[in-house]
Amino acid sequence: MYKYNADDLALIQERAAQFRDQVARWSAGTLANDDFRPLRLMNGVYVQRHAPLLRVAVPYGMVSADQLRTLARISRRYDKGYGHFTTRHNLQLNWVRIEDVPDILDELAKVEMHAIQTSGNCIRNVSSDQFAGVAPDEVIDPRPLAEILRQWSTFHPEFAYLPRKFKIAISGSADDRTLGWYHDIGLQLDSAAGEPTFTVLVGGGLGRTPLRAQVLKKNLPWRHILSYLEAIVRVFNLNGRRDNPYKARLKILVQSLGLREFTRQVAAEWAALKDGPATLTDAEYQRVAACFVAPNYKTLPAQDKQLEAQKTAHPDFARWLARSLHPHKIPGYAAVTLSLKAPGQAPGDLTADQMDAVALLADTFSFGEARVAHEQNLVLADVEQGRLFELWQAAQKVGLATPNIGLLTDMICCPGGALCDLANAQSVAIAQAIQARFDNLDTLTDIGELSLNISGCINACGHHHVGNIGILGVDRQGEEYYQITLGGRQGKDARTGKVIGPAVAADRVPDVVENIIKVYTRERRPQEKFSATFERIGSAQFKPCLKENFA
Amino acid sequence: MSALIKYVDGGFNLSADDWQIAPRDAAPQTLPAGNWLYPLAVWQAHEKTIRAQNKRFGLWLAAETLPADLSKLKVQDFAAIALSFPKFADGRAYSLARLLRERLVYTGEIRAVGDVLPDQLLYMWRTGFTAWALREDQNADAALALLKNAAGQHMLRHAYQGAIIPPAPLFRRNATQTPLPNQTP
Repeated sequence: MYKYNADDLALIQERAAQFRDQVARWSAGTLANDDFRPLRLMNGVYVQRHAPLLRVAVPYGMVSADQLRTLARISRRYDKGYGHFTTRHNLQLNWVRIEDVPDILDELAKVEMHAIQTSGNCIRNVSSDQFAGVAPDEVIDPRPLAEILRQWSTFHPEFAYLPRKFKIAISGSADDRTLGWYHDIGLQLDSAAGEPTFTVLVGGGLGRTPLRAQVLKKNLPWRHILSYLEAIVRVFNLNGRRDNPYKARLKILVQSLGLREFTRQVAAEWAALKDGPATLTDAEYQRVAACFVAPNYKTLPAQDKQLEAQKTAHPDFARWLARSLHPHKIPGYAAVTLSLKAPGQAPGDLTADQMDAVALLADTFSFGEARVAHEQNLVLADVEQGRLFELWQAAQKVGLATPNIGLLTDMICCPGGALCDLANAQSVAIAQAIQARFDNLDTLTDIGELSLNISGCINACGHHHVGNIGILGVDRQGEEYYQITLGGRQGKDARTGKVIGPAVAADRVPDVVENIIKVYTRERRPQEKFSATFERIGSAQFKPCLKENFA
Repeated sequence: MSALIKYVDGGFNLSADDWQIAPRDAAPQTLPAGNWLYPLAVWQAHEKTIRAQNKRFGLWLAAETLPADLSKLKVQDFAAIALSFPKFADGRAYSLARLLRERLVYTGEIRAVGDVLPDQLLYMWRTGFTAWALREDQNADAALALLKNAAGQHMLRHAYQGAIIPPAPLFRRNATQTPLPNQTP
């Protein structure tokens, strides 16, 4: 992974010192609350229901064993001994004191981490593919350019006070595991012309107004990416709405101008920036890419000999393998997803002890590195097939081997009303009620791959629009209700689901989900995924699932 | 006239302010003699009068100003251009300042006016501002002190990306062994 040099370190140390001073002035009353607010947000500090929250950046999801151990230590010392992984690779500490944040930032800086621009109306942490560098369908490893984008966006002086937050995802694979269609900018790397090029998607987003991105540019040579992004963000900064935060995202500007006019404005701006100092150099690419060279892989047979016997002898192991493995481009290796969706666990939560345990697993099995998936799981990307059994046994002991990756209980879920000020609903309680209803692994496996995403409010942190089943908490005269959308999906053909009818009361959600599953399993054709069945038979078939007398 | 912070000769200093912002509905011939920053609409309506009666004149631009509005002006004729921050979290003026410097090669004073706070000053400096009329409740001495760290160096003097200061991104500065920008004291 990327290794800081003296400049990188100086930058985050200075920032931590600056924030320490800002906190001191705020505590002393010389920096007013309103003036402090955007400053703390840009340093990852939200004030939520019970306590301030610190959102630590895990840039493009890469995290080292040492970093995990530091996070564990911080969460024990300054928080309640756990953290929550978000849908954009970040780790949220839910119970910090603002006065402690400067010390936490200093601790983080020692392991080359920070909380910069994880909130606020600025360019946020760049997100990417949890299987970057190892996926067989990868064309180009997106991580060097993701790091280059991290550096470009960090403390960008022109773009610190945008109309609204700004999210970029970067993918280098045939499939899209980054939700690029639903980011302000989705970048897809390809190498059509013999050198890396970008397809630039623009104006996507979830939230109150879910909009799929549109293709702004194809075949953009990689060395122009920074000037091209500056052109886009400048057009946004100057023209995006500032009168209404709900209409301020880039997607609204693209929608109101129309793609053609937006493209024209970006092209005009880019014409003046192209080939300027922001043009990337081979030397810079190579410097950064050197941090992402393949680890010291062994030469292994494509199929490990013992694996079949281990699977036969241990059906539970076979079941876990079937769910948790992603293919690897190096023969004899596999990428393993560790589930943060054990029964009774808040999706995406990890205790300090588990952080330490994952650090040890990463050191033992995967060259000391792990990744955060936007589905709120962790990934060990480089595991020898011959050591999978050993890893499974170790992961089981720390509750990270639930064999549900990709299944209904592998839910994406926001922290919800228990912690968040914005939420209308106890999304975690709903997730746990659904987990409890679908506690039978055979049933889950029979249902097959299916995504269920829960957001506690319209801001859609739980990505409910793109879940096969999406559940959204809404407030109805002080009562928690849940609106159900169906047919959403991620990936290359990502799309948002459709609302199938009126919202239902909290206690009915597990029933409704069960009804939906009944219809799906009854109607589906062999191998047919949920979104395909939904598209084929339409929402009318699912509408009765909302009724109390559904049979 | 209140104190303002200026960046001159490689350093930030307190400076007397000899500019005033003309009212939006000003008739220039009725204003007393002095250095006036004219709102764009006033300038457009009274350019000839202003040029005839003043040797030095400045421009005041609202945050809503678009690049197309700027390109019609002979910006070099203005001794100072004020960019307005209606709220400090309204970041349009950062882009306008950079456009004035990079696109229109404006070399005069660019000053921040309105909701101008010390904590944003360095980003403004990096995008081309050279003068700051702080919000009334702010203390300019305290603001100056904030710009430096314990070692007396400017905070956040390191920067990844090129802007006005420094003009080149870190990867180009490092590549050519050019020291950090000479504007940095």
